[in-house]
Amino acid sequence: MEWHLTMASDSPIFVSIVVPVYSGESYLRSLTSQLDAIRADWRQRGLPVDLAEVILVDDSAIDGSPTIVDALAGEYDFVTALHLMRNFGQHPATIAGILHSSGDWVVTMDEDLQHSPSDIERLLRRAILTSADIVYALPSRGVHQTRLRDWGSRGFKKLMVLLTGNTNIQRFNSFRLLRGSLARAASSVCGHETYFDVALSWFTRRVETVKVDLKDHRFIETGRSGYNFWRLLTHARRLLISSQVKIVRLFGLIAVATVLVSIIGSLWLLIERVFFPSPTLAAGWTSLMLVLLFFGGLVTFMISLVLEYLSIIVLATHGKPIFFAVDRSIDRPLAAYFATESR
Amino acid sequence: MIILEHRHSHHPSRPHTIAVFGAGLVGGAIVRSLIHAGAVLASELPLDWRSGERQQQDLERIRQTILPNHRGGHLERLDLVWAAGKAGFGATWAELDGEMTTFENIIRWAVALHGSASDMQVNLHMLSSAGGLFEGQRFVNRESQARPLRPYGATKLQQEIFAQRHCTGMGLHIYRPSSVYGFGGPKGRSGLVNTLIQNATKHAASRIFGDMDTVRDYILASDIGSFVARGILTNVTLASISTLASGKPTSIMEMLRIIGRVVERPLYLKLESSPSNAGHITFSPSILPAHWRPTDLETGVRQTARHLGLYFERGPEGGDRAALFSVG
Repeated sequence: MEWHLTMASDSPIFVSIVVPVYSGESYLRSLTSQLDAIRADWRQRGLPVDLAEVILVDDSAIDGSPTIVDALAGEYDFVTALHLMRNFGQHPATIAGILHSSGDWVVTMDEDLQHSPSDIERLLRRAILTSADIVYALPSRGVHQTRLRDWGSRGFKKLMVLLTGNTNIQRFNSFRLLRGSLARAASSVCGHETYFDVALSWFTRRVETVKVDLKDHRFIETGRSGYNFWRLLTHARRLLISSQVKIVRLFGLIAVATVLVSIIGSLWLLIERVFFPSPTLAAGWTSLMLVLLFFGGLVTFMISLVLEYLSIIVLATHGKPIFFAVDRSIDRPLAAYFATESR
Repeated sequence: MIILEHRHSHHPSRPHTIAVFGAGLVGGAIVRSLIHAGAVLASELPLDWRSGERQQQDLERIRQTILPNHRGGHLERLDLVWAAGKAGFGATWAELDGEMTTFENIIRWAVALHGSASDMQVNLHMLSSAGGLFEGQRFVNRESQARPLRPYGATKLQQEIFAQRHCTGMGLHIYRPSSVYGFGGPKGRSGLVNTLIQNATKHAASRIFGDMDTVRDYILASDIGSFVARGILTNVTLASISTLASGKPTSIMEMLRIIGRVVERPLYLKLESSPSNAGHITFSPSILPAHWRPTDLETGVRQTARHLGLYFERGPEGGDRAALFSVG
């Protein structure tokens, strides 16, 4: 009997949706039915892409969400319920969901309809047409509709960019479209303290954004938000721990400059003493300062060197990869579809 | 092949005989679970795969070993477990020919055995392969059609069809496990997990066939053993076909990270660019049987590493067949 080894090539591009759930009982049914409508619409329009699964990750929710998550998994065959043993936080819940996904593309979104399922196709279109690996949703205007809070959010991101040198931080958003291979690889390497979006940037530089109308309905309606000052501090800490902190290198440079200044000063002092001797008012003061500068600079430089080594070890422990291969050829059918549609 | 006997506490005079064909990774796990549940190892008989004539002689000896129990008016139930297989995922038709012939011979033999003692309840538990049947398919659910892509999967499908056609009047239960890992003794085929653990221990390089993002579904052999043993020894209702998967896709990258964490040693890898084994295979949780509770991957890998470590320390003398089937 003759048998040809062939790979299944007629399968569509699969999209997985991951939703961490913490207090979403009021929104989950509506969110799932909207996603179901998108799924039906794509099938009806003949898009070579299938919204294959929705993974609802119950992060030990504080309301009636777990029951609703199970009910939805029973009602919709594309919904998977995943219950975490305790509240691990949004990033670990997202990572857990991604590690249970097998789509070619993975969309992560919030439970509270802040992120509209209708925007998923726009993210996908941008990713395919620009050969990007990550597409973040970028708020077209204030998410919270209070200036103080929106400015605070932007200011925090700018400060983090300054400290870490990672310009992508300004684009970070929990509504994101990720290439499946990248999402699973980055999730695999994430440790307890790794900031997920920083881990993503270890794998790819092809990051795009799409402006969408994002509104924190929960905050606007109830004044409650998933974020508070302490959570913001935790985010900052994890961002700094996961990133190679730029400020350490700055200290290293300052230290080197200090040592150089002390050496030049010492030489100048020596030349002055030998060729232009003059009586000094406070004997030894300048020499003492130069010695302090030299050793101070040297010690600071050594500390910054140790910190740099430590940073390399921490990043290696966090799982920063040496390389990661990608196959973007799977995008072709969808690229062809979008090209035909735009004609 | 291995013959076990089990006497139910409420019917001690009516022994229940279980004949297991194949004592590799999965077959061994089934035997261990049966022993753990109270079954007793009755005998171990050879079954020749090369010579048809010797195979018939071996089958006749097996029949004589099983049937006296029945003639004595005791044996009420016989469960036959097919967990044998000599060829792996990448086997050719030629390599699989012998396996298919042996399988057909055993099914015919089982049908004849049932015919000669029709008042005896005979069940056939057949281990197939979800990976072989659904290779290249993702989100496999109850509506998914088996579309094998290679001789291995096609042979498994042929075996299922053959069993369904011939095992009329007998109870037929087909189990389709996904990618199986676990400790199966020194002779069994070594899968991805075992190879990576063993090579890390020996500081040797492992060859990876597939991409780092090849997504598969892994299950622990002992989970299959417990599930099949429970189906044999209790009156739990089994579906005619049970897909034994975890429902959790795992990429090679994730597997490498888990194994690296467990063995706490560097993994030396050689990536093979051959795409022949790079197809994804994942299963929707909705396809899983009701009483199936697969072990979490990291826990399973830790268990496997511990068993392999013990075997490595004790050496071949500590890993004889009796020890492999011992409980605890």
